[in-house]
Amino acid sequence: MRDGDVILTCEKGLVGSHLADHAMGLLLALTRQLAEAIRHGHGAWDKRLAYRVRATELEGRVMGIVGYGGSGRAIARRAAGFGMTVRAVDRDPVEGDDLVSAVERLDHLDAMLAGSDVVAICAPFAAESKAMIDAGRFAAMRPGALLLNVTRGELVDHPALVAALESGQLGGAGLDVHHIEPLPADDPLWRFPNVVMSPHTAGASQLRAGRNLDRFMENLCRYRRGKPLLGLVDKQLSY
Amino acid sequence: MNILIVNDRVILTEVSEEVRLAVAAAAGPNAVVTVATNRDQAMAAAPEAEVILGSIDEELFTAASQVKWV
Repeated sequence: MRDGDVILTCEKGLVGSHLADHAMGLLLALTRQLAEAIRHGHGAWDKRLAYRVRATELEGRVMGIVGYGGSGRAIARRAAGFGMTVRAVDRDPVEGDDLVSAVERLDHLDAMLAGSDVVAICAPFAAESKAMIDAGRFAAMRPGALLLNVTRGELVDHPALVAALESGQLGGAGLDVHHIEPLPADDPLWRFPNVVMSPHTAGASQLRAGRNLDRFMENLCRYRRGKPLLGLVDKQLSY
Repeated sequence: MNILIVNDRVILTEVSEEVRLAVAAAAGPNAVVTVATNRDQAMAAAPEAEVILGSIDEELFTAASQVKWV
């Protein structure tokens, strides 16, 4: 497929809203101690003082977004709604918006990581982005920062993630995707109370099928008329 | 035009007959639109498909010898 003439289109630009909803859900589960409270059930009442000590709010915090496409922008809108400041980097020269006046290039990634309280991974998977969040990137992060990943698990170096959590350099993580799925039952990530995970369900939405069909119908008209298709994938870049 | 819609029940949760007919109408005269709801149906329809909508793997892609757009 990569080297052939077959046209490949995808749903890029259509999945951001539900991925962003999910990312914010994971983030709030961490910052408001919701995951802990739910996990402890009835016993949570006796732990409420500990929850209160650890509970934080998002107002005034900095959301750093790696990859400012559809999902990144959807997270930015939600983060801004919670009173957060938003920064973003992208491998490509992309336009800013009213939330991020200047989207920086990847050579500013470390600086953005150092200035962010929450880092959201929203970049597509490609050969050069595999394990891009590695030990060096975790070291560059603000101590105690939180990591969100609802897009591609392969973008995060798993051993480095575990090491950053063990050292406390990373304050927590909200993950819907992993380098291996399903994540093995004996994976160390399951041991961390400050890691909240869902089973690759961020892509679920009651609106997703309809959006896909709408795009397909539009593209079908374009295809018949020989016009450029929406959501066209650069097969060499894999996105 | 021969169109294969692979209904994986994950992303395309439901493809109704109404949707199939709408796709056929948009595809133009003599369009054939097949909605496959399982692997066997998808593999059977793949060799004739010019367009495939939905999840596709290497085996299905290889079987789709006439496909032009996925």
